[in-house]
Amino acid sequence: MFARLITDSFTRRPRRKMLTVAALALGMAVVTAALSVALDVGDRLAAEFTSLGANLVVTPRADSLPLEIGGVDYRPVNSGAYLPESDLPKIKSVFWHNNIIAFAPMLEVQGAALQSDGQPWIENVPLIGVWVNHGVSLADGKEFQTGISATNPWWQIEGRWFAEGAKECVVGVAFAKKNHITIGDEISLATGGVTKIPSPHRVTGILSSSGSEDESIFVSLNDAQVFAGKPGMYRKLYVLALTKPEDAFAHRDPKTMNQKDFERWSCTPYVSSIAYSIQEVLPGSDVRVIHRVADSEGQILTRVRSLLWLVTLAALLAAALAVGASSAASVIERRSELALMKALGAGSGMVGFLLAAEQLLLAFVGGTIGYAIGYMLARIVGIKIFGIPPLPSFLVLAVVLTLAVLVTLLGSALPLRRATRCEPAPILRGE
Amino acid sequence: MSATSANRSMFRRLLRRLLFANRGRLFVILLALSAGAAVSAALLNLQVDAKHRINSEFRSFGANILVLPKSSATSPGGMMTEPQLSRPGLPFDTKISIHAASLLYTIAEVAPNSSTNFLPVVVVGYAGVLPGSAPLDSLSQEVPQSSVASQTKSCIAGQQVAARLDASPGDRLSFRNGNLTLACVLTAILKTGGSEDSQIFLPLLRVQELANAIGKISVIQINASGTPAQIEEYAQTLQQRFPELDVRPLRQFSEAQAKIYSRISGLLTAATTLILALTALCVMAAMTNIAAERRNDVGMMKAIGGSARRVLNLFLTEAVILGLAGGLIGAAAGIALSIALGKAVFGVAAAPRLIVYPISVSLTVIVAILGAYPLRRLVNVRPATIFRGEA
Amino acid sequence: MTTQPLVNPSTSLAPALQVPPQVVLENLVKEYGTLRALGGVSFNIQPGEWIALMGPSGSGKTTLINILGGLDTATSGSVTVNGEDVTRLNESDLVRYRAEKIGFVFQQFHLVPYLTALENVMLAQYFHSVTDESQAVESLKRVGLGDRLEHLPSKLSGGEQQRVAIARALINQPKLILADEPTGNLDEVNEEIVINIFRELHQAGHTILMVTHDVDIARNASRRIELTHGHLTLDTTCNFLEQPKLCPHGKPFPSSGCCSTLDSKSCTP
Repeated sequence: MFARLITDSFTRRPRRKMLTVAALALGMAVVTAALSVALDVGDRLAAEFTSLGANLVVTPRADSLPLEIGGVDYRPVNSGAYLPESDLPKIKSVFWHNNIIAFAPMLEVQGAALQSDGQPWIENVPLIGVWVNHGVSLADGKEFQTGISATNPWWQIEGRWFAEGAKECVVGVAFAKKNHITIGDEISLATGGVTKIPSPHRVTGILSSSGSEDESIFVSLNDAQVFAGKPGMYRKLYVLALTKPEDAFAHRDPKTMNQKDFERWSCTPYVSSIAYSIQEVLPGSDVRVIHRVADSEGQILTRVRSLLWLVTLAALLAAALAVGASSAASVIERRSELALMKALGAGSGMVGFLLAAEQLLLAFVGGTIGYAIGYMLARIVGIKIFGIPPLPSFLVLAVVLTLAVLVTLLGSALPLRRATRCEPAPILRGE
Repeated sequence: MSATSANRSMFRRLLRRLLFANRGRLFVILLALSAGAAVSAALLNLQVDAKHRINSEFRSFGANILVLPKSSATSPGGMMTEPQLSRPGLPFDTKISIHAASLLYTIAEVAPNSSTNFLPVVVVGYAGVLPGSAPLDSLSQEVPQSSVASQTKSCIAGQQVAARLDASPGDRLSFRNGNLTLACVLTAILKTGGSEDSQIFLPLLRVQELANAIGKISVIQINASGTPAQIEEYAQTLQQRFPELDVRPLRQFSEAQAKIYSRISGLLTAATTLILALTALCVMAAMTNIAAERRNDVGMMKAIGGSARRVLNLFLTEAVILGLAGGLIGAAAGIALSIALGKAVFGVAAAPRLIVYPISVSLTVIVAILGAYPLRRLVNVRPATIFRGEA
Repeated sequence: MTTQPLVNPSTSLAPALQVPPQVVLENLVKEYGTLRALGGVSFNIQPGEWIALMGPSGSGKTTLINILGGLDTATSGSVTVNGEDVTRLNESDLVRYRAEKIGFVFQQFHLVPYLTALENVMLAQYFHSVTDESQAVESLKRVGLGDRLEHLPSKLSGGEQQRVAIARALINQPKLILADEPTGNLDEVNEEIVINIFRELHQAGHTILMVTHDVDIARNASRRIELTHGHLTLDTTCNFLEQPKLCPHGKPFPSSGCCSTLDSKSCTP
């Protein structure tokens, strides 16, 4: 009988019910889309963040203080400390190794360049050795491709990068322009004072970084190690990691934390905890956070998440209001029917239960439809804005249905209460 | 009283009765309309402001244009005379906002407290207000740039220098360059992850004294807010104005940020549209509540000879008044809300954009009228059908 | 049963023939889908008559009075009121018709709940042409509600509400007063008050068609018409003292025109 009452009320006066379902569906659609995007956005935007470049820099702890002005290091040659290239694969063994997207070591040496015989050597030319698409053999046997293009993605190359092992180089655009060097030219590079041993290199590309690197010449790390007389060594390492925005907990000094807090801290991919774990696996290193990059990533993520929460909240509020108004109207319309039920002996509880059951059914229907629409919306938004659609998530479905039920009950609470309290007689009389 | 004025006063009387018949219900309807207006106004304001805001957020990401003396490649320590391009002289553009700082680099020897162990270090003279070379919410960054400029006795050291000197805030640092000397008190440690970590910052004037380069600077760091295209354009304007200088826009951040923020603004637009649609639906649902109650009134008024036009006029006017009232109040609240929301979401309070107000109010009125739409259909139904309850 | 006729006893058959009828129903049919509410009803109404329209529930009384009042449309047939065929009117003309020619009193009163008694009456004036507060006050006084002008319907008893409805129905000086079970929702005391008003109206010469199921109320009328299953089964003549005319075999009377022309020859076998 109960089921019959409910199905009857659904077949008659469908218009009012459809409005409630529509309002619920739309509200839940927005919530679904917002939640789906919110769950993914960290990952999606993280992919965008890689375009900001490296967020960690590693230097030898024992190194002397850099004397850099405008990209030129004024430290006396041979005055520094270096780190072994062989330690680098260990980076991919830290707890968050999947978050380490790329790393690129660098070795800089002051050298000279010669364009053609008969001309004088161009002195004080920074020769920077880097990895370009270098394969790193990891402990588990896999190979990890990484290089400077990932850590410094704003560097633009006209032509191509040098091939490792080949005697090739890339020239900074300012240097190239000043000395009239073009792609394909053969130039000789050397280090040393009066006696220079020229090493011919072919120019394969022109680099434009909009920074001081435009005045330098790039060679493979191996070449630079030979020039500097430091085989197997590097002096600076850039690391690009996907991180979680830092909150108050993240900023605490790990040395002051107790065991439990420390575990929690190191198990969260804060940029500072990833820095800490890298420093552990690279002996002799000093890992610093590149704040300009890391903080802006955190800020953007936080803001986008806030925005999505805002959207979700507004959608829930609007949906609650719509459902409330709809059910209030519905209750008023059915006044005489409810009064009749009460006059026939249905108690307030029974009437209330019937109405609540109807609302719950509406909630499920509306919530499910809303989820379907919302998921499609999330796909559109995901593809259009991030290029990748989000994955369907049962978690979101469960949350959406729960919210739909809550919103419906909340929205119709007042009208339902009034309905169950009403006196049948005056209504049946027609007042 | 003339016929028309008698009827007009009756119309007003009827309207008053209609509106205030049920105070509770009136309150709920106004609440729904105001809420709808507030949500729409808040989102519209954020949307209009966010586009503008998003570009100005670049400000928080340090310098994006460098101005250097020409041929700095051959003499990296090259300097230019400051009056050549002093900060007040920078071209001003109404579309973007400019912040700038002048820096002078030199190498000097420094020792902490009363130690005689001097270490060569890059000393930077700094003058200007550049909105943070790192975001302000980084806790380890305690330096407001103004303190460098104003407190002549203070200095700030990068984290690597401080570690090497074993100095902490409060310690005294002594500098020497040849026979020129200088002393300062360390007030803060700078952590950037960049070359600043190995530099010590002092007020520009003092470093000019120390380097015996009065009136000279090495570089001007400019932070220009705007899209990469705008920044590029501004850099070109600068270069044209000062052909003897080297103006370099820094690409690293502007392009990446532009892409990211365009994504976010796309998200915001999508969200705004959705919420607006939802809000409209919500308000319409609230209005159809009234329409349902008015059904009997419509039937009865028609039964006693009310023309469709007159009856509809009455209820539509009621809807318009409700829409206006809810809209006027709600839109104002919404704009105020968006200012707070802007602060929460973007970190900067949104500016009220006046165009949003009339748009929001109009939208509310339109939605209110649409909500009363069922009545429009009803006035053409025969009264008997209404009374039977079939309408 | 013998009752005292409350009509002017000078009303006789002959003058009735000469005065043209105010209302002529000709073969009025109303169908709701497959349900035939009225199956070809014809009769006339003379000016000044008080007709009691009776019959069991579902007989079509309310349908008939609604069509007469322009609240519903006919499927076929015609209804001519004061020379105007109501069934041919479009909606806007019907509005005029309701405002000018008809005064309707409903069983459920149908007052606007948020307007005072005075405003409810003025509403009818407003829809007709122009409001006239003093006139409205007068009409309320005439039904004995001079001291209830500013009351909302919720503050009035059922009888008082119905009296407001009557005042409203009369305010535009209608040619025809239609009442659908006007005392159906009233208690005995209020019923008496309301019926008294109708008696006064009848005495003043108004034409009244009243749907009622109450024989005692019907006794006040000058003529009784009964419907059964949408057909006319009883029509007393203008002379109340005569017995109601029925076909000998008790089947529906194929009536047309004034009741005085009824004779058993019109009966079909």
